[in-house]
Amino acid sequence: MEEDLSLKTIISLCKANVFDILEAGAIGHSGGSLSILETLIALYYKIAKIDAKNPKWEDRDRIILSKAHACEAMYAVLGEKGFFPKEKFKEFLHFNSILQGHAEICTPGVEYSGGSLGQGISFACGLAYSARLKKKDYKVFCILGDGECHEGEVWEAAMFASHYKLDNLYVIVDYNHYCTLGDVDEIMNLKPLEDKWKSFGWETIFEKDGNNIKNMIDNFQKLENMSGRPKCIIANTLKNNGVPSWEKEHIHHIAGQKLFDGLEEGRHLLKK
Amino acid sequence: MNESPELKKMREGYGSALIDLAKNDEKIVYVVADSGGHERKWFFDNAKERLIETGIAEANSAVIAAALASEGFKPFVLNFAYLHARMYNQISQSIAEDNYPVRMAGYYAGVWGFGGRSHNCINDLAFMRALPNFNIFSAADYWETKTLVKKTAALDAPSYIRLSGVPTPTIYDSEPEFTSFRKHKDGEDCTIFCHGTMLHETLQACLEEKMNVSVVNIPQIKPLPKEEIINEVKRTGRAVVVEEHSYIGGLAESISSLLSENYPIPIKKVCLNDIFPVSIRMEEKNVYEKFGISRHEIIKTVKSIINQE
Repeated sequence: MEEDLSLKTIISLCKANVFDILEAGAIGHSGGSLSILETLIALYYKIAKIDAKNPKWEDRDRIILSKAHACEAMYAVLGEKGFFPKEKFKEFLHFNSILQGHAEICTPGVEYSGGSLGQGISFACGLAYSARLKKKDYKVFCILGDGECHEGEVWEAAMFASHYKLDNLYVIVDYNHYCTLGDVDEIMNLKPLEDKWKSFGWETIFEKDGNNIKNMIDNFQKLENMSGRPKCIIANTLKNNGVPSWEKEHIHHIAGQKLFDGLEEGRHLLKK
Repeated sequence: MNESPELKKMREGYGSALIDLAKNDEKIVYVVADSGGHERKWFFDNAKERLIETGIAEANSAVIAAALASEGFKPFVLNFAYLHARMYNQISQSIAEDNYPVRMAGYYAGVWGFGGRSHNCINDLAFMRALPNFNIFSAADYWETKTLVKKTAALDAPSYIRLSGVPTPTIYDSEPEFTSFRKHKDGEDCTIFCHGTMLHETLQACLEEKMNVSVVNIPQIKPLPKEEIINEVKRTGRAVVVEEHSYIGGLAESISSLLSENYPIPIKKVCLNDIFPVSIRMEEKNVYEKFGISRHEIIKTVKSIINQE
């Protein structure tokens, strides 16, 4: 119970961090950041072996944000975890800041410089294969967007991971149902998404509440006991989770008055 | 220089140099997308885990190579030159942006090959040169290919070596020492800069026609050996650039740009037009003649630049 409470507190702190970061940049990808926040917290606080004081520790688990536009969530968690001082949030998108508009390795703790979609999962495959060559037992976690699964490279990589039986590789698909211009399945149908991953040879779990951190932690633990195949969690999430006015509009990236109205709304709800 | 040159594939040189390196360096990994020659077999038989096959999925292969480089391995990636355009966004974001030392090589560059418009790539230097952090090389023969493979192995930055796809005349009789600027002939009236297959064609032009020209091979297209080029033309005052590449974006444009800013002199190009080259049989005669980059075109162009006042 105490643990749940502390996770709840961490979620609130990180969400507040996301708001601060968006405010500093006066623009940002709110939707995909707020949908994936709980997954990142589950990884950085409960699941992955990492050391904020030693981000390049050889035996660490590698966390790849393939949907690198959700960088605000990544920075929020890395800052909270102590990878860099939280004062840096103020510098988001400022000239030469360590906090760029897509997650990049200039930020301590970020393992891959993304932006163009579909590539992070290939990078994660390469890292997972490197562990085998180095005879290390680190794991690789890779967060994909649902719309990102439109990219052909995702499936090239999915085939590769399965071919080489990379069971140290975990993919989380942030199924928040909206890409930039609308319903992801209306833009280009992904369904049946779970069957697709399964048919590519992946252990696949569909999590119907991907914003429930406890469920996500359980899923990771369940998959840890399985071997011989790469692992995938399709996390059904809510885009802009925690800011109802943005949720309603399925906002992808936000700026202007709507940003400031939403920040007020989100911060108000956090205080409750 | 060989008197009667043997024809040898640059790809064979690539393979044997890579095997030499891989025997002594366990960090070397070979990332292939259903590509590679005898060196692929060597890895398969001797270092299977270091042969990373992605299937015909080049985009994936480029990024996997980047990840391996980020973990301290030394990845080599060989594919058709044209496929670097297919992988371009992956090369740009996953390799070049973070300066991961992935060693890429593209064969079937140039006009000579039966693959036709899709396969014969004459603009690879244009798009690869535009990538920050990349080091770009072009091999003149089998032996220089070996030199360049070893050069890129030692570089801590991403690189691309341009290779021909067909057997080409050997110019050297052993691995030449690496240099970014190699003078093959000294003269006073004009400097001919060339690279790749056109080094042989240029040297043949000089044998067929008595010309008081310098011939310089530029195996390193980027970064360009700027000072050496400027110092060379200060002596001759004229330049002709010869390459089996489109006139857009290759060595010719690169040298023109360098000299127009630093030492403006008359420059002419013997390059390919802005075309997609058609299929060519291996036995086809006068291929370079057909595409306007033959030794006769070189002689004509040198004469015209010397006579123009």
